[in-house]
Amino acid sequence: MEKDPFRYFRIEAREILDVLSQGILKLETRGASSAARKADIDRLLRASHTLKGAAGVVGHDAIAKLAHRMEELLAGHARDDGSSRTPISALLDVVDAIASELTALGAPAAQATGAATAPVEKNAESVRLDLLEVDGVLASIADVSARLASASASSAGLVRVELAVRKVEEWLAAAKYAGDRSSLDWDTVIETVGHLRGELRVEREALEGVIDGAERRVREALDDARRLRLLPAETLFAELARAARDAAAADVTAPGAPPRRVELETAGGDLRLDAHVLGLLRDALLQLVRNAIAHALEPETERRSGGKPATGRIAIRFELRGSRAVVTCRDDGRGIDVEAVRAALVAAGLASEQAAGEMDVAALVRVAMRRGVTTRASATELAGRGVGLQVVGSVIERLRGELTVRTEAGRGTTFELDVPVSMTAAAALVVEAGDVAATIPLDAVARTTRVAGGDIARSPEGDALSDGGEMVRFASLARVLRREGKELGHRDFSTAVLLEIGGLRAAVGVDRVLGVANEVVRPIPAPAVADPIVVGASLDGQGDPRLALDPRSLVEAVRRLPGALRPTPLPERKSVLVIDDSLTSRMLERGILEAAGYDVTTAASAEEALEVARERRFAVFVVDVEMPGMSGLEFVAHTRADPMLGATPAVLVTSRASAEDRRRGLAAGARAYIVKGEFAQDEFLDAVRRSVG
Amino acid sequence: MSDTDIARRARVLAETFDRSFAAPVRVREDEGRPALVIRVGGDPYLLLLEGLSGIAKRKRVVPLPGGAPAQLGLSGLRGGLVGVFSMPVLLGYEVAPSRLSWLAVAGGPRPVALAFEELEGQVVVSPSNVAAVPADARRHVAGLVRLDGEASDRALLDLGAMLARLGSSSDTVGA
Repeated sequence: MEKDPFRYFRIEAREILDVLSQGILKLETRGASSAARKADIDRLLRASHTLKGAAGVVGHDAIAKLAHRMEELLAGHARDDGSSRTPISALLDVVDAIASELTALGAPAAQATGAATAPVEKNAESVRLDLLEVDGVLASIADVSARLASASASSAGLVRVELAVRKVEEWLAAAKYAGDRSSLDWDTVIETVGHLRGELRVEREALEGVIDGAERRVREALDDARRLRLLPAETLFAELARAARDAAAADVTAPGAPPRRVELETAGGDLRLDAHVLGLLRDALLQLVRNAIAHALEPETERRSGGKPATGRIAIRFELRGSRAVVTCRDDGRGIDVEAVRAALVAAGLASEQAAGEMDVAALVRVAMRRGVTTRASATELAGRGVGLQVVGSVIERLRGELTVRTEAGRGTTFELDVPVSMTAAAALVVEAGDVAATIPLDAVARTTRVAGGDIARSPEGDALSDGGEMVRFASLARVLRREGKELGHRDFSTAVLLEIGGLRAAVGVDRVLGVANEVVRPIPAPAVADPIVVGASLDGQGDPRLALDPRSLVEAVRRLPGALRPTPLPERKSVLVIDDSLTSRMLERGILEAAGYDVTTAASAEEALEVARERRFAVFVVDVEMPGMSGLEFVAHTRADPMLGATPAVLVTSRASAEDRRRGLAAGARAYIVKGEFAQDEFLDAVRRSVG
Repeated sequence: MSDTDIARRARVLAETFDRSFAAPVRVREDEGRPALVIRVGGDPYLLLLEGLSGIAKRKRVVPLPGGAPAQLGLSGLRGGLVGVFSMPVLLGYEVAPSRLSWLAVAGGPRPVALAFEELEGQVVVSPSNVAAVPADARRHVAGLVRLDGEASDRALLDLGAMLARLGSSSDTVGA
């Protein structure tokens, strides 16, 4: 490869041809003397000139001459003198000629330029040649990964060693205390073995850290390499636009008739898909576009008389729905003649009259796809579609996808190809909600805005946020992900993310927006399952998962949710009385509770607590059991009998873990019994929260 | 203690070390099977090493909306995603997820992590020491084992049964 003089020229020339191809097609739609047209021509002239220069540098005279020719032709257009203009097709001929020269260099030129003269098979082949290099990288990294995996087995061995040493240590200690003494210095032996275990533990943890980090880096490198295989869907758009133009110009169904005019709209071009998947989808889309023009879009005169715009319209859209890529091809033509299709299937012996009569359009098309109604000689509507649909059917089969067809007489037809994708990458907004980090595809994010609780209009039917005067349904992301109960106290969302997809809008509240990332999303690994809102996860820099959210499901979920249970404005902070004679325990519990949003008062004894409790109301008492003077158990029993304090629940905190103590605590009237030795922040907060109710 | 006794004890120690270093694969039936000594739901259990690809300290587990009660969420383990499930819930206990400090990772092409509270050690379980499962035993128990020096039996967990349950009916696991 190092000796290839055209290596970088091919890449540059391919990109320039892409610009030329799309720009020339756009010229057709510009007004005769519009400023936009002039700007387009200037851009095309610059591109041609750059190509001429680059071709000169690498000594490719043929391409340099063709680029020069392109400049001359464009200059004629730039003079804005209708008589000196060459037809658009002449400009495209030059693009094709340059593409052919590039193809002769062994370059994947046609795929990017969209030259209609290059066969699809050749395009696919050239893409595969490119991928060989990438596959080589993948293979080498996978090898490193496998080696690391075997290294990690040695870490498991260290665990066994550590446990065995501990066992020996226990034996030695047992032997010592059993009086089985000898001349050995048992204390030294035990101490030595203890050290050995400690050292082993340090080594093991260090080794695990190294392995973990190394494996993560290798996995990241694998992701990077895999990402190379992901191409943006817009890679296909130039080729599809060119195919549409050529098909319209060729007017395949009625030789001699005036050409049809067609406009191709595209959307979702930034969705990145595996090159193999995209290559197959390209084959299917080319067929659908050509068929739409040949058979579905009416000639101009017919469209005008039918009250339609003279220019036929084909809209291609790429979209990610969960772990599936959905490609829609919609035309505004005459629609499929369903009865004719039924008759053709019956005539071809592919279905009985009754069976055909019971099939809807999607079923009919599926039969046509599978069985191949390809009798071109019959020149019927069905025959034409059958040819293309067979290709589409084969693509869907290879990708294990599904096809949906909707048609309406006189209004048009929509083909929807829905294929599973194991890995995708798309720019996404990274947000944090409660204890969860998540990503939302950027193309579904309209904007983000800071909000406070007061900005939300609450009602039993649902919460809403005002966006430029329009009320948009709103819910906190933590609530949608069913994490609201885990949110810390009254800490509230601070940012609203406004989502818009498929004409539907909604907003979700998040704690923080961390930024934008382009991450590789993996599916949820079985047997784990999740609501459809979560379609997979990526890994952050520390190797922790970030949930990948499906914007459509997210919007639907927000719109379905009834009003938040939490009233507006935010409720008063719940007050807690912490009673503990240990300053450390008091401060620890106070810190945890305050971080969770509680209003905390402390008392150093049960007696002091009783005084404080009579002065103001508390939502809950958190009481140490072992205290000098009145014990925690006595405090609980005392307050249970007090008509003023009896309604306030009490949580006992103690270092006594026996079942009898627990029984006594609960018998005294405590709502919960937390053992300090098992003290865990979440459990403690859960107990307090449950007691508060 | 005589020199002979010391020599015998040293040999026993050396053999134990050797056994501990040996990989837990292809263990002969009469040699016993290595098992982890663990606590689940506060109770003593044994978990055979066979079928495990590793033991790890618990990392951050990100909860997923939906899924069975035993499902704790997703964790990033060695650069990949792994589903984490609560062993106590699978066995019918109620234990706060924050107390589950260890992950037993079951291998295979689709690794699964089972979280439990405490790792106490490792033993070799001789098949002849495994008593039958009593009728009132918790689910996923393959037998009972009395370890030296312990006053009560430990239940030997059936890893395969736990994994099968996760794989076959993830919508009702732990319910």
